[in-house]
Amino acid sequence: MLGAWTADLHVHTFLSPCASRDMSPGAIVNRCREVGLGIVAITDHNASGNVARTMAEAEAEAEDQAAKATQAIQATRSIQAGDAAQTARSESGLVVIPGMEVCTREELHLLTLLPDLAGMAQWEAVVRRSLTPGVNVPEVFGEQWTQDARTGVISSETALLAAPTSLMLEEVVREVTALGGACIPAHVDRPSFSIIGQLGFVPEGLNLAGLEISRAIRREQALARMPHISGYGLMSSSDAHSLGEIGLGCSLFWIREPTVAEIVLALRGAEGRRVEIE
Amino acid sequence: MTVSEIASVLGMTCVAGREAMDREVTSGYASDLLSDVMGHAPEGAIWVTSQIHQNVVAVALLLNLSAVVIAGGLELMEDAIVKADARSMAMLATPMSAFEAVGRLYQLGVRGEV
Repeated sequence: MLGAWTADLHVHTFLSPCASRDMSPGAIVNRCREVGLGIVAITDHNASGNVARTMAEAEAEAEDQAAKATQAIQATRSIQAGDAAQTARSESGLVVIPGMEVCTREELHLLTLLPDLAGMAQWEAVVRRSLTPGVNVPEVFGEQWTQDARTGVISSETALLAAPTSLMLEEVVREVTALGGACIPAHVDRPSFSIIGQLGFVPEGLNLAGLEISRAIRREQALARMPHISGYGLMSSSDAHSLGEIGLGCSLFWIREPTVAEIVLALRGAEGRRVEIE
Repeated sequence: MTVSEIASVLGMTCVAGREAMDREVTSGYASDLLSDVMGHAPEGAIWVTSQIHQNVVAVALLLNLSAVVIAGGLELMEDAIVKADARSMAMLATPMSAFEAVGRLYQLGVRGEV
């Protein structure tokens, strides 16, 4: 059975040098819940150091909500505590998808979504080897902070995340696909760092799950301006760099379960699955 | 030759970083790939590009370039303007194509590293 999930699949944390300093995993999870998102993808530039912490925060938040809801359910109905907790949890959890916004050698931004943390760890190892050598200069590019998943301790990431990787677009798609992940070129309507801005078109024969349009443009406008992208599934997301932007662009995914595989099927319109841009 | 002199002779408009217009231009570079610029542009160079985002300003600051020329009549993005103003990096705009802008700069005596 298909269910409707509101998803914002492009959100930065304070690991991205250009993001606001209040973009901590905990604050992001709270804001996602406030604006009613069911799925969020954490997509920092060329790194994934805050994905695990965001998952942990979402988990903790769900436990917290479930405990409150369990009490409420038990107060009104005479059912078993275990059943009540189960019901409450399934209604309250925010699903966090491990993602990364990779800047390819062509200097275009590609959202990469991985099925789980293990897959993301493998993908991050590839990206690490391909970063522009050198250290970040916070005064020029901005601070880069990671938060430890378990302890919550915040530390500075010194790698140069603002610069492009040496990975070609095709290499990224090949590697991520092999890990069971999905590649979605970001904000294709924008002039900067987009596949169309840099290359002029979307090359054929690439295993792309779909394309992201920015929140500045509607689906019809995007298709009128770029008719050659009509063969791709489109989604909209916020590309949030500050808390208030989360959910300002989002998409409704009609899927069986909140997984990367289902998101890909929805973008491709498989078996009734679909994406509606809100 | 200073950034200000070049802008005035070639009719380029300063769109941000006005405070840095008296910087001396010691060479020139042209590219639209940040990685290429980061690897090869010499300090003090004037950089001709058609990229308009804030990382252009960041790279120019990192390399201590003298100025950036946004060619092709493109408009620098707002966050780039704010950054260039805050950190004093002269940003010039011209309706000329990048090819034409580089040619005119060369005519004025600006050279790249060979």
